[in-house]
Amino acid sequence: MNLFLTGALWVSSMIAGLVFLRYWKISRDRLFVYFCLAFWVMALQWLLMAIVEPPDEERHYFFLMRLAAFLLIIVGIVDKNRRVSGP
Amino acid sequence: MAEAVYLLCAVTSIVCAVLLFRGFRSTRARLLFWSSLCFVAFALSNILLFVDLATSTDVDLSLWRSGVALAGILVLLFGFVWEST
Amino acid sequence: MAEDDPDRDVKRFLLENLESYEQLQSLLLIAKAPDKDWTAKSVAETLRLPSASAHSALEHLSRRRLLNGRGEVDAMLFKYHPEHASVVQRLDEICCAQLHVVLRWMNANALERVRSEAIKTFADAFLMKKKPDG
Repeated sequence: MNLFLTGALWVSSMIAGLVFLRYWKISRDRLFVYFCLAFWVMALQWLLMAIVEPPDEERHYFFLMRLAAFLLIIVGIVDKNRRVSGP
Repeated sequence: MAEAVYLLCAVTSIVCAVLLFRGFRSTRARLLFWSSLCFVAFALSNILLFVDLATSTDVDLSLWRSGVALAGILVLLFGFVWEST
Repeated sequence: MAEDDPDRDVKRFLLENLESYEQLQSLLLIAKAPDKDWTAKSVAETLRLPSASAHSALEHLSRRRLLNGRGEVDAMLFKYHPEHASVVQRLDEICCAQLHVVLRWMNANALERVRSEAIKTFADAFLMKKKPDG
């Protein structure tokens, strides 16, 4: 069941990233690039976890990928706010 | 270190959810509502991750973590499809 | 839009500049008499539009730099600005021959604008402070 959920998470994250990529193409707002990359990094994390199936002790190294994904979101939000309030 | 990662992810998710919900309240754009629900789910998933892996319990929350995260992304995709056509 | 679409420039012009049929009618009318000064009243009478619609259309066209507006707010004069003359002429030809095609393009553009607005709203939700242009 867990493997099924992980597979579904991978596919749905890839699709969400693709939607954000399309939003970027339409709007040319860089924020959507960050969201696209974030969701694709999450997708990659879930894909690797499904393939490798790490024991619990090592799992947190995969969650560093989730950290990277959320850092991308943070950077994207900061970048957008700096662009708007900048010179 | 690992605990800090999980908490940062949870906090970031909460910030995104709050920003999106605030946007929904001012614009009534439903896409923002569905998106905020997605990040609420991500926050819950990350909190469950913290509880599951950073605390010593015998209860395995991996199915709940994955299920909640999946529900969040599916809600986001629903919002994308439903509100963009 | 396909690279080899002969009407690609016209479609882009429509998407970027014209949001309503009143704006289209007003632009094509004024383009036919490029040296004349028009008021909202004269456009409204010629096209049989409500004055407010004509005024709103002319203001929009002026903001898009398709017309030059001058004078008092209540009695503005509008004159054709020929920067996009070739595209406007082509648009006029298509309207005369196949108005339904232009209307179809404008309907599609309206849907595209709604979608773009939703996307922009999503992105703007992540602004910590509201934009100054409110």
